[in-house]
Amino acid sequence: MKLLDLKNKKGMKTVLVAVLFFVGLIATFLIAKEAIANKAIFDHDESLTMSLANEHRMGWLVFENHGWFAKSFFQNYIVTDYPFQYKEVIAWEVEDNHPPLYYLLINIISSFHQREPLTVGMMLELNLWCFLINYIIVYWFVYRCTKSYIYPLVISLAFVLNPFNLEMLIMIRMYQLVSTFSLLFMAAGMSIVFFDEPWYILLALAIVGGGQTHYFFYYAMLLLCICFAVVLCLQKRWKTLLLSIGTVLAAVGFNFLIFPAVFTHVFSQTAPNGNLGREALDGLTSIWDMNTFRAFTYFDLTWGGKWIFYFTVVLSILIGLLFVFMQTKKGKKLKISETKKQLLVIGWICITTSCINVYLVSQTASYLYARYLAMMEGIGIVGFFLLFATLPKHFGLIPIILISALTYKPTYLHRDPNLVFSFDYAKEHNGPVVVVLKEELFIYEVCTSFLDFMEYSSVGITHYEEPFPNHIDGDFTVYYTKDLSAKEVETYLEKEIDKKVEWVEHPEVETNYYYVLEAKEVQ
Amino acid sequence: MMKKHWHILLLQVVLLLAVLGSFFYLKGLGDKQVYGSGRNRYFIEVHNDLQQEVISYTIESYETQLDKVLEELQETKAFSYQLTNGELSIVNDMEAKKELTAYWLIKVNWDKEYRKVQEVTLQDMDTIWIMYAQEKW
Repeated sequence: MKLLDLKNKKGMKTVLVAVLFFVGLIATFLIAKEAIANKAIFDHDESLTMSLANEHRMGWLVFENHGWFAKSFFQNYIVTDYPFQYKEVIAWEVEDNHPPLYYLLINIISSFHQREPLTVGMMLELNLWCFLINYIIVYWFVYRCTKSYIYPLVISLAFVLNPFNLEMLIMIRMYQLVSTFSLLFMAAGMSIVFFDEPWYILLALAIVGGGQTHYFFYYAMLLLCICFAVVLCLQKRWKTLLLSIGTVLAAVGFNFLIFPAVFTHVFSQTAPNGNLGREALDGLTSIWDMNTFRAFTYFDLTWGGKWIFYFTVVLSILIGLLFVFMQTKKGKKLKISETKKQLLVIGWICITTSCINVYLVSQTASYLYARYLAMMEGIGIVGFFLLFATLPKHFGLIPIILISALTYKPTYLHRDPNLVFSFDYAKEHNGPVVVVLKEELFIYEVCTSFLDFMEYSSVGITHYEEPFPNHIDGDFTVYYTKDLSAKEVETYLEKEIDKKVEWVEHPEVETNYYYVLEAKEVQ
Repeated sequence: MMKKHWHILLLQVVLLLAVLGSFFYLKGLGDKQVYGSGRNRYFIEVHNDLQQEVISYTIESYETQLDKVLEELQETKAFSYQLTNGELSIVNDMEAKKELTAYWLIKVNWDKEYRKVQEVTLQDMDTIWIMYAQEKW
């Protein structure tokens, strides 16, 4: 019990580390709660997440091109149809193009909450857990690497507050979960390789979890495995190398065994839901034809603007030079302690693999979404900050805090009090709503507003260029796509609806695809 | 190494057991899902034979007995639910009622197929909603 002996310096440090850990954990929890409470905008894939986890019949809502729809039509969308019915979820994922773990977990959470009203908090419950686990992993890993009491707290909080991480927290997709598994994989692997600790079971669990969550996890695994293997070969630790390779192969084999649809998803030309896997493979085989511009666009998407990214790169180089300058005395050879050497290697492995991952994803992803980098982004951020921990006398804290402040995006935690959640607006104005789309029907545009449309008494969907002859009793709301102007929509509806109305614009209502108008009946 | 790091191994074994335990517990919950548990969703389709029109309505119910669900359908707000803007409205015309034969099909979520559970004529129901909007559009 020497560690807990407060008279002992080591004991004091242990207590301090534990206290700071819990302080950081509480702060992380509060940050996460605030970010979730501020979520106003939904991406079209988020309704798909809930639907695929809960509705075996559909992904998108299926309806005619236009017409009126009852409230129940939307109320029953994404509600758990089959509580704890995993076979249904897996069967649907075989038809889709993702591994099933995330959807299974969402199904489980939805099943536990099936008698409660649908809330944003419920949909993001899994992400909240993963966010907290990520904090714990980063804290533990940084402490393991630095043995410092202050760096784990600062780096893990900088990691938590990173805008990319907050974005993944509030997105109802599998990216927060997969980042948990890749961080776990990285931490377990680094501990095996650099600290000679037997974390093989954790390594296998991370591979099984990550592989069953998103296929891009294998990029993270592969890139890190190559680095680990090189280090182990250089150190001639053959037994550890063989044991690690065996663990990785067994876990990957297990993944293929329990979800053999991976072969169809990745290799088949005629996969049920498109050829995303095949396209990815084709992109990978033409890897030398690199699309640098696209890769840099990813940096732009993830670091809050490319200038901040460039700035952080320049800053890290300057800090590196400063480090070299401070460690070197005139005429003497550079002296770096073994611990700091190790820290540098760990940091650069994280950064290098993370950057290569950007290229791999930019080559293979079908769409340009920053979230596809979630598997390595966290690892890159941690590695980047770890480099600063090599600076003497806690000087590294300054750039970490500075970079965090520069890349911090207040929108996640500080909501404009004048803005109104569209689903709150819908609860207050729960009469009928007319949705005016331009030209053609985009089903996802309608499905994405499922939280709003389940509040309105009825939902009428029409195209701007189609007739909409109708009588609507009382006041009603209009959602119109952002490529239309309020004037155009007003003129259109005044022609189609047989009564006089007064139009009130509501620019304060936030939705992803629509602006909101209120139509007040004029007597 | 194993002796030196016994606590790491122990921690991982505990973690593995926790994962396996959760797996079997949750699998058990799935296996226990039998008729009558959880929130049941009933899809009611009212068929208008004359016009080959299908009017569907969905309610959610915690009831387990089908008879009670039918009672609930007639008594609760599910059928007196107000939608007055063209998409749904009440058939009040008695003549029309005589001509229509409607039956309910109720799907219970663990059934794979629709099941015809009760045939009723419109006279048996106080109100029935039909979707005018379908004709209109």
